[in-house]
Amino acid sequence: MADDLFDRSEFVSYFRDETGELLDRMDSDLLILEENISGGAIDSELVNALFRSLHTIKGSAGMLDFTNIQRVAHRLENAIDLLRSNKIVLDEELLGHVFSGRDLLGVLIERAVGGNLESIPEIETYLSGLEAFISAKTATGAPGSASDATAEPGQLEEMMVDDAAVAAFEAEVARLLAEQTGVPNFAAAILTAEASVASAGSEQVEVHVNDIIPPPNGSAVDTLVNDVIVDAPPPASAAAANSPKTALTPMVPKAPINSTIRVDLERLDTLLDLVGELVINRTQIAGIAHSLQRAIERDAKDAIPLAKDLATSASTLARITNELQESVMKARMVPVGQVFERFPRTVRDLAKSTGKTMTLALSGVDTDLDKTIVDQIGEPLMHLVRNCADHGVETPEARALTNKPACATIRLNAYHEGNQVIIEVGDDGGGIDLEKIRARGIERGLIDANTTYPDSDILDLIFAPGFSTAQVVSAISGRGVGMDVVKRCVNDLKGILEVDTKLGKGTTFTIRLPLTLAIIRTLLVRVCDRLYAIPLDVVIESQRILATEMRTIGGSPVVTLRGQVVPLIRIGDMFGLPQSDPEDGYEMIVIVSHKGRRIGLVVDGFEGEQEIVIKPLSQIIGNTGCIAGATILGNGAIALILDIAALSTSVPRQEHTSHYAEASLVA
Amino acid sequence: MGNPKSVLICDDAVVMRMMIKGILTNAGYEVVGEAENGAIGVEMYKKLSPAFVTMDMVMPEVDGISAVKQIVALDPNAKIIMCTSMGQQQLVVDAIKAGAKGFVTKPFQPPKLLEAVEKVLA
Repeated sequence: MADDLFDRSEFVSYFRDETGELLDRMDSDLLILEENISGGAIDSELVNALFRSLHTIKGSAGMLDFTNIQRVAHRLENAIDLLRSNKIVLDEELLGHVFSGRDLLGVLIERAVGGNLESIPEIETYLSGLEAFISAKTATGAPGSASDATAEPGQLEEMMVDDAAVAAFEAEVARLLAEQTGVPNFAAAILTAEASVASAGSEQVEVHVNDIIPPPNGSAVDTLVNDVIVDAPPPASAAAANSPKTALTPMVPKAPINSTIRVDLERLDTLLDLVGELVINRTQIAGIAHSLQRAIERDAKDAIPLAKDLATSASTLARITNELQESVMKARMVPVGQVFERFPRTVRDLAKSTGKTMTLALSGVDTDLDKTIVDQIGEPLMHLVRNCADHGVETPEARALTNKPACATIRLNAYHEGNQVIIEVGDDGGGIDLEKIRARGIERGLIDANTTYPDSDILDLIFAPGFSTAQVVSAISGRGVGMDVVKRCVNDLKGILEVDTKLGKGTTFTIRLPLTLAIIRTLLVRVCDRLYAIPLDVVIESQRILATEMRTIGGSPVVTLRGQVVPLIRIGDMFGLPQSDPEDGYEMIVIVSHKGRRIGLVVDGFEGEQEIVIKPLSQIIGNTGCIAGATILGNGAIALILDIAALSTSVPRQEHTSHYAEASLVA
Repeated sequence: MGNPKSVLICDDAVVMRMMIKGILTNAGYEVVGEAENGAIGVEMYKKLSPAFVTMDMVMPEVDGISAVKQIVALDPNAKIIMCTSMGQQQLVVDAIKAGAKGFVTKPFQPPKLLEAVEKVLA
């Protein structure tokens, strides 16, 4: 009964958020431990924090039946417990195991959240490596005594292996409770009874459990038994300690899941205040409307002061709604530090794997950014940081030759500028050699060898699809992702990616992002009596052309503008609206650009620019193809937002595509 | 004594608090407070005087057993259920000695927790 009311799935997104924070916390704790490892004294509070993080992950995973996560967290927790009790010492190798274990947990959590609970081979490889390491350490005279060393690893698990042990323990607690209260109370009696039945044999335990408790999907005892069965020591593998990182890299795609956000109470209070004002305002307006009606019935002149009142109330309403809009946007904002947090670990790993020395300098971590963007900017940033470490930063020897400090600095910086958020990823490395880029561009057939291009065009080549090659892409920056993908990710977030480089001094990538994705600037157009919104960032220009200038090529309408053939789409045709005759022989066209391609949208009229709030269409409507969403306008009318990317695919490709430079700059 | 169905949840894990809250709320109990560590738990106990408490063992600042000791010192009749993990048997014994009245081992199914609650309230 109660089980049916208890839907675990609703907790999964919280689980992801919480474990995500804990894994980040583990990273930063581990990094501090690693930094101080040579200093001798380790900070026991950091070790305790590690233990608690793992303990929480284990507990929550257990509640959600994520047994793989529970198992790995449990073993790691045991290892940290040995460290806590000085049975093993903290060294590079142990840290390596814990780092790998933390990463394994990250992978398992992503999988589990996405609904994939299957085991992966990396678990056994990892656990056997960890077990072998701990056995070796506890056997070869770490601070603990040698005699009891063999009993130590996994001791906590073995303690609870059989039902009898569980039962005996429960009986002990029951006795203890009875002693405490003086009289064997109900609780103690039940516990003792349960225990005695349990000790009689596992078969009976099952009967008993089913009898009294509605059948659980895995009682504590079941879980224990499972744990023991799967935990049977697999063959030790020494390679495991260093390799799991690469074994795990095939990234699981991010699970689509309702994301949650923590909002400062203060921000919510502001919202509530504003809603309060709104209610007062509503009452005022209703009152004025009532008085107006009565005044008009008596004498229209009496209505004049009331009309003024109405205007005042309306402007109050405008102020409140503006503030409300701003506050709701703020409530969606989270500090970019949430993303930056994971990079110290990344840079540490990169330094280890490249053999270069580098540090990460973070600034502007408090800069607020829309939650949606924060969730999606991680991957592109990760790639840029990897790119800096891999291609930007030179080896310590090369740096010594140019009188640079041996330790390179990778910078991550964020700040607000107008309505945008700027994120910079930079390094003080060798910079990008434009000549090499030019040569590669020619080799790849991206540019013409005999033409002179401005430096900025050459530099933009690094974002061109097909520019990255196996030669350039190392194991680090690699992962099959080129800079073109990074650029596309940023563009998908309505952002712009720029690069600035000075040979010998370093390279800086700059990402410009809008503050929010929920509100966009659009051009409103009219077709028949309907309104459509076109995102302003794709609009190049609007034109009136003579209907006679329109031609057809291969059955498709086109127009030639400044010598370039532009395919046309009649929006009315797309939505089955009757075609209206052009007034005075002119057609209205909006030229939009998608991935460097220009398309003309034929409409009946322009209704001006407007900021709109995007409302997704209900799923009942299904896949609409050319519509990205809808919005409600000031007068209550509804406008559909055109999906230019989808529209552009419906247009046959013309031979006269724009030349490269335009393609890269406009996109 | 206040509401006989009131409960204070003391756990540092958000997911765990939510799940315990869900189970208990569905069963008709009223969660009057949620504390994310033992120190806050003790403070909340003073203010709220709940009918019973669910108490995690491993928490930052003040751990479960210390919190039990402090709460029992304030109210010898406090009804505290320890939420423990496998491998913490000794801690359970310590907690019971410190005055906890029941325990439930994580991961638990809803009936297991409700059973433990009914026992301490009996």
